[in-house]
Amino acid sequence: MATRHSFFLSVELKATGNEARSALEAVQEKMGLRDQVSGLAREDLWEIDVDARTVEGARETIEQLVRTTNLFANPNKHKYTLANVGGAEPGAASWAAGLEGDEVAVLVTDRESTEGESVLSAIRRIGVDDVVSIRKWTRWRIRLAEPPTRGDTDVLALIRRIGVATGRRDGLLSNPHSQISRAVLPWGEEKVLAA
Amino acid sequence: MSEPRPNIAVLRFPGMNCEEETRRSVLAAGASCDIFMWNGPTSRLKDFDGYVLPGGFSYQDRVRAGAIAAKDRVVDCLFEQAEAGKPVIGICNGAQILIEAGMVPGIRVGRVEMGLAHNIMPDRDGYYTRWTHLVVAHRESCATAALEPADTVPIPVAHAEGRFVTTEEGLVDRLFEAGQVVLTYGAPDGTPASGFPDNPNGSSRNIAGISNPAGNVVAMMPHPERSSWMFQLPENLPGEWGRRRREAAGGDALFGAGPGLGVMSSLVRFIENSGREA
Repeated sequence: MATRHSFFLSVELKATGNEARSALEAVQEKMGLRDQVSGLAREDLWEIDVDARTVEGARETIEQLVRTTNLFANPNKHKYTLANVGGAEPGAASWAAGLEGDEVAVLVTDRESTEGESVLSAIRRIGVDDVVSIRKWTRWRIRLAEPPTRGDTDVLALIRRIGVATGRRDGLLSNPHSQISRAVLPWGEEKVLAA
Repeated sequence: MSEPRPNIAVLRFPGMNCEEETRRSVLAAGASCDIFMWNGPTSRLKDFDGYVLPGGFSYQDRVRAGAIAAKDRVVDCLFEQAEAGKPVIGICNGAQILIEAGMVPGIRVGRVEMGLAHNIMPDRDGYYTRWTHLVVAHRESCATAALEPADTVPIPVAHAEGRFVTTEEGLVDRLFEAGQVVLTYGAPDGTPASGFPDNPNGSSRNIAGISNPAGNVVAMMPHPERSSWMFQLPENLPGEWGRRRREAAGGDALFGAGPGLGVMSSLVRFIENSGREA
């Protein structure tokens, strides 16, 4: 009998990501946060649910889709990792996977996301029925000049200032009217930025 | 001696691609016009009487359409000039910049009160281009002052992120009540769009263009520079403008004013009227 398996497929460019470079320049120069932020990286994070008898079977379904279609990644320019995050709502630790001690993550997705549905529809058209849902996130990894520590409210304020566009000066990575966003701290704690 | 013509700056950010045709449209409306680079001296930018932010892909739409350009220093100058009453029109990517900068709707100036979200369309996704039929919802703005309230104005859209949205409860109602929704998507006969494709992106209540409370800053998704001459209109366009286009076929009338020129004429009229009031 098939059970539900959830995976994160993380896709990033092999080469330097120009989008992340532009975002970093905007944060450091246009928003004046050069002293607080030292790096920025970007990846597409696909949250994929698959119904399969085994987790290995579910993994193989996704691996095959990645290898044989260009829907998620182009092997000439992207690298990817696939992680099983269980069968229920992924925990904060899953979202924090791969973060280094001086990094925090901001996760962004559209409030009314249609991209996942479009990809799901394309997958159905090629006869794959066991993928049941797909949602695309952007995961921004922000490298801070000072490693964050638990309970540091200044760090959360800084992440919010970078993560949520609330004003002319404040916020870049998400627009709270069209997108939802979350902050993830390296020890696996999650904070809602825009619900 | 005749009055000097209004002098308009078309502000070009890296990645924009509609500045030249926008400049021509402004010239055709009777203003003088220069393309001003985003990193030019703002001391010179202040000398212009009005501003147009054209369409394109500023900063390649990185992060989110308009998001990075909205943080550019030159936008500070636009804020100052708008505060002084000068008109600013943002077209498509220009509109995305104004929304991301918090210039529109500008209830609390500088606060981001709306977003331009990805299009929502049945059975498709992403970038979409189509002729739309705009209904003039309010004339008291720098983009609609020369348009008649009953006009249906055919202007094409071309975007992936053009759906006006907000999480602020009641804001859209307040914008309608205050006359800040200046353009809406309609059917060719001028009745409100009942859905896709007349509303090409799923925008709340068919909103196509919004102004600030004073009416001197407008963010609009359709491209008026692409319907500023009759020859730009397709012959199969429905409605009155389509009839005029078919009649113009093969003659000099093809080089006459198209419906989109009314937006640029509005900009010129708005400046002229401001000068008379001052």
